[in-house]
Amino acid sequence: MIRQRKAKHYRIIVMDSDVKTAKQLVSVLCKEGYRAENIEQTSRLFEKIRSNLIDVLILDVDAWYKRGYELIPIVKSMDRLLPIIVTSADDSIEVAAKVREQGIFFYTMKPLDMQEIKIALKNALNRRYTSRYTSGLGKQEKLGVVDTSEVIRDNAEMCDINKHLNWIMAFFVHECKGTLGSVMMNISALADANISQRISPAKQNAMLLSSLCSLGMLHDMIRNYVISYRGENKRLQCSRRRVDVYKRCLEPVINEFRPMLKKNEMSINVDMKGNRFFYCDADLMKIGFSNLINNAIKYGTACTDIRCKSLTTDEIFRLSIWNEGIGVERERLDDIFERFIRFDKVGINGTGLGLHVVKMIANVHNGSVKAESGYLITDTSVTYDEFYSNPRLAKTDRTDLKKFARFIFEIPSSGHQQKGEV
Amino acid sequence: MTEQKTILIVDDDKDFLEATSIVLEKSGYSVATCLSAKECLAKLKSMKPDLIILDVMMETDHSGFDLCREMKRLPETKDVPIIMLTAVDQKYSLDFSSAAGDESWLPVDEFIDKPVEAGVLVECIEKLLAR
Repeated sequence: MIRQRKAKHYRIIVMDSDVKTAKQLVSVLCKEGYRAENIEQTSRLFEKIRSNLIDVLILDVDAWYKRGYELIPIVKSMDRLLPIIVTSADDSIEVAAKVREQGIFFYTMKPLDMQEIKIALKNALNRRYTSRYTSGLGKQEKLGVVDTSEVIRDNAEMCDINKHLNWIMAFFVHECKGTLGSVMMNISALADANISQRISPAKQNAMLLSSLCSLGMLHDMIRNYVISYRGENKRLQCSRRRVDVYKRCLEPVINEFRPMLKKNEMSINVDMKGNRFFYCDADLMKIGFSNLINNAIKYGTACTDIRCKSLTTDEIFRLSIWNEGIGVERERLDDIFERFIRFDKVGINGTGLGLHVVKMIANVHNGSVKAESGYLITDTSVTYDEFYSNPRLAKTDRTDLKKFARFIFEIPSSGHQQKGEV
Repeated sequence: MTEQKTILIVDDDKDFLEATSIVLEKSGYSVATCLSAKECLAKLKSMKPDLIILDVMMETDHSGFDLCREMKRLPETKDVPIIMLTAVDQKYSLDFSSAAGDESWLPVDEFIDKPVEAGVLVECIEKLLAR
């Protein structure tokens, strides 16, 4: 039997960027009988972990210059079994994904529900001391060839991973069902004589077009999820062959997007320069182009043009896709290729995997993809860096300025390598 | 002649708003739409809908719940029936009781899971407005 310690023996460290919340949390936990303490410096946190003076860490991801989640792997490398309860004021899916996939014990949003924290804490301590107890046993007793502590540790980690996977699946299902929502509404209305007889033929066509676009998006979401999963498991294969990049990859993708372009009254201007042929994986390239064009349409301004330029030489293939639209926020340009990052959460369906998949495809070709964004000044694209480094422009009122986004996808020649596996 | 009823749809999915608006307008309702909880609260200052269709996950995972509570608190909207229409599966994904604070308290009149057929939604609206 595991001997339960009294609450006062348990040492809880709170690391929170908000002094008021930290004080309140420490006060509540102390009243519960815990030895709770708020610390601000990471050096002190690491010292506590090294000295084994911590049983549970309650970490605010906004702490440590809003990069508290980066502390999680460091903490876990120092004490793999230390339960971490993470709190955050940011309830975006991006932050939740970043945090949850690191195998934390519990994740909760601010404002904190103290009752929920107390329950999570109790469960975290149960896990901590079950693991420690059996870990101690493991040193003396062996179950055959398997160390008990290893089993407990693996089980605990598996539990965290499962929680994360369930959460990812729930998010993915939500996005797919949401996209199906408009398809079902449109098609069922058209199939219902009572409703459809009152809808004009032009509106009926618009409803069919909208449904077709939504189904295309649904297809892309599922495909990106599968590709992303393969990539995460290092099972994304790249078979390079000599292909006509325009005919084999770009043109079919543009044709697939005709309904979506029509719906948004947009068009694509294509400017191809250089050779026609390049060694690459045509199927993966099509997926990459598809995601880039999809992105440009989704986040582009209706009734504008998307500019697609490519250059193929013996050394490189470069494709840039430009659109006028909501742009990419300056501070998000670097992390826009991470999983579940979306330009804008309101009004547009999507799982935030498209650009991540583009990056994976560039990587398996030993290439790269980068994002640029900024303002349109008299129809000239001025990147944020150019804009803010120009004293005259930096003073401009930005309220009514249009924005652009440009993605540059570049892969080097393989030296006519026939097949590469990553 | 009976007065035309107004339905307010709050959902962050533009395509869904468009499709549902067509269906409800052709079913004889006047329709107003909002893409976010914030926009909805602003709109409610100038209009009083007869029924509200509300999504759960918009700006945040819980914004539909928060908006629902707020509308049930406001004197102008506290008696307006609410249909919660969402792709969040009540049975399998989000823990509704913990997300809503208290499942029994969640003051919606009907819960419908997306995707839903147009006829089913119209029937549900008719039933609630006839009460």
